[in-house]
Amino acid sequence: MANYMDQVYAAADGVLLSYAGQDVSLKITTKLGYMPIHTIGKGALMDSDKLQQVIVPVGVRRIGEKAFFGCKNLKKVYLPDSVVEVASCAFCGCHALRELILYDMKLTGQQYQSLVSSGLRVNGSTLLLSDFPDDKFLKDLVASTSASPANPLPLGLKQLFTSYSLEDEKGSGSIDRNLQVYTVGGAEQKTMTEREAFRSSMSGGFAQTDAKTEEDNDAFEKKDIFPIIVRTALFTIDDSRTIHRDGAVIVTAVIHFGYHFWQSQVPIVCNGNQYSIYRRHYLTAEQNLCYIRRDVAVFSGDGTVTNQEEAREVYARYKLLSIL
Amino acid sequence: MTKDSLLLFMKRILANGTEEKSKMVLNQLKEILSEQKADNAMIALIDETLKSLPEAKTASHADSFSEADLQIAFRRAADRKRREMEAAYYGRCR
Repeated sequence: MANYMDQVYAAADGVLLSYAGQDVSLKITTKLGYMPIHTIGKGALMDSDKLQQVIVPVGVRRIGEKAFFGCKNLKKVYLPDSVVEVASCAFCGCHALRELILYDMKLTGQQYQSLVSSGLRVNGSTLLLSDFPDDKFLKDLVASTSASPANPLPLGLKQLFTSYSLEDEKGSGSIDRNLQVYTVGGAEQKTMTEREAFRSSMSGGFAQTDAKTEEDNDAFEKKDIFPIIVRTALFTIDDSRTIHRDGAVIVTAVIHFGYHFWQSQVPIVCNGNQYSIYRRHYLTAEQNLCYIRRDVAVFSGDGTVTNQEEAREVYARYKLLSIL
Repeated sequence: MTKDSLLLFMKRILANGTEEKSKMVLNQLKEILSEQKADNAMIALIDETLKSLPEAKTASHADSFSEADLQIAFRRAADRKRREMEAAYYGRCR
């Protein structure tokens, strides 16, 4: 069995076992010694923090499990035509990864499947991370809203708001207003009330666990527990990771909701002056993922409100929260 | 691959990465050796190293890295596991 080892590489039998260099841009060599490399082995480049770009050479056929796992700064990977298999989780933990460029590659069904199962999606000749909304959902979404394929977001946009209140006790009846729900896959539209959406988002959480008796349930139904619900969320957008797909714009945003925050990728669609954001929503009763449309207030870079005056107050409140 | 070259490989792999990375790479090496129908003793050595990774990693940082050094690491790992087991079963949380 042929084997090779130097200060940077270790390889055996054509399998690159380990890379221990400090390169920012790495072109993996085609041959180590006299041994051609046909496989990037399991965990071979794992935790290579400094890597930003990797060129996989022609002749490599397989990329092993967790080969690039945890390369935090890896932004771009070039894959050759010869790659036929990418094992599961090959690019897990590469949070900065934005592009996998396939040079001269025509994907077969098997290649596509192996790439998708490793957590990637294919868009033309570029692979993108798969935490994106479903393709069909986006296409239907754009068709239904006749959105412009051009960037609908004002330049310098940094923040978006969703803000709505459910003030049933004041007689507005907003808790029973109907929402349109878009199911992933078929983009099947249906309606549910705010009350149902709220309950389903809370079920499994405090709303059900706290409601120990029938009386508690009744109290919840009568809004004694939540007489007025004001739900606002602030989306702080990372400009550099905005992606255009199928006429929709997908923004990467940090979503602040009360004192909680998390990062997500959300599609946003512009129809005239109306901006709509589609938030992921899990319907626990049906055990599936869907999207609920929320109309949003838009702030330009300098903080001026472009289409919803009242959102300024909400903005001020969040500013206050962030200072506190 | 001879036993000496295997030990050289293992030293490099263990010294140059996290435990997780070493585990993945040693597993890959084990697969290659199995495919090549290599000596069972070499595969068993990798297996035993995988079970005693923290101690084997410590041993790999020393200048010398022989099979005897690995055997000491295996014994240390066995001791640690025994202590952990005793603490779990007979510790103060009993």
